[in-house]
Amino acid sequence: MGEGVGDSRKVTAVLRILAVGVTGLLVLCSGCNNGQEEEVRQRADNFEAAVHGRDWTQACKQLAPTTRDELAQSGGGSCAKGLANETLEAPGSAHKVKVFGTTAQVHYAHDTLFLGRFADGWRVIAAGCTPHRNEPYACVVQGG
Amino acid sequence: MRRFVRENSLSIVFGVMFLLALLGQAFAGWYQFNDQQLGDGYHQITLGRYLTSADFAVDVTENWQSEYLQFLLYILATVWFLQKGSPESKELGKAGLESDEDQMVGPHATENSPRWARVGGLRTALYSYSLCLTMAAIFLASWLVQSVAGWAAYNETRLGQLRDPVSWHAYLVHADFWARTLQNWQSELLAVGSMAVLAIYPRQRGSPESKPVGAPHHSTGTEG
Repeated sequence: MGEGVGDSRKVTAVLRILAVGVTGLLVLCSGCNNGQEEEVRQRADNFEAAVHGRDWTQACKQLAPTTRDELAQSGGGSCAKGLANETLEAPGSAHKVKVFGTTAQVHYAHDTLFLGRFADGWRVIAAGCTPHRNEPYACVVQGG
Repeated sequence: MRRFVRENSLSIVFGVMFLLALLGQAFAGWYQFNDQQLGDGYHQITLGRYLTSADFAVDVTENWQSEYLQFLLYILATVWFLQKGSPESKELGKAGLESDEDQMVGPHATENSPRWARVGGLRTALYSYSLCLTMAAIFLASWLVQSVAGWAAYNETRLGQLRDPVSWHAYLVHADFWARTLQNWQSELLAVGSMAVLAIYPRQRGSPESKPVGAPHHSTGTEG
């Protein structure tokens, strides 16, 4: 075997390893949610527990900034007052969590929440949501 | 070492340019993603998180799959289809898989031929298509990753719009998947098709992708 042929094979082998490695990495990483379900579920549960314990201040702490601002507007400057004015049903116990990148959805028996990942962790973007076929959910609470 | 670099400079130069372009895409994509996040009211993410995101993966692989498909189709098409006057085409009258003698396989192999070209049987048959099989495998792997990453990226957007996510199976027939796929396919097909035709008249002195500068326009299958 000539030296040139041997070198070409080395280059081909390196390229193949690189291609397989990068492809494998992309397969592993693409679509993965880095085990975020538990954090999302916990945040959603905290929100629902605070709402149904009528602890509006605590509930507001679980919300995304834009959602808090929206409620503060309707509550005369107070998110807690704004949230107290809204009617949110008891969610029920069964729930399913779906996480894609920086957004998530939590299904309860009688409620659906949407969450987003912010600098300080997952926060509720919208709550009290009901499906509208292929259109966006109609939500009792949501950001502007 | 210097000899190795000189004799493999084509793959080394393209390998380095590929890595630099991928690095550039990583940074540009990261800034673009964070700009979008800012506009949507979400927080900015680190470069490390972006590099493992579905957005980065789909942007990379939707181009990879189309490039490998392009070369796969070109390699296959040039077996049977001809273009008069093009150095990309075989000589007129040589369309097809050609004889064992022309292809130096089995009893027509030389002592320097690869072993699998000499041994005959399944191994020679497999080796005869190994370039296309390799290209096809990389194409399919890239397309599969694109479908998974594109599905995750699309669902991330849908959830941000307060809509239900779609299943991976539904995504495979979704407009988002096919828009990403076909926008790449059309450009690759245009590029290879125009390369085959353009190479009939213009020349690039010294390039094997062109005819010699003085070769006649009707000369087919000659490389400079």
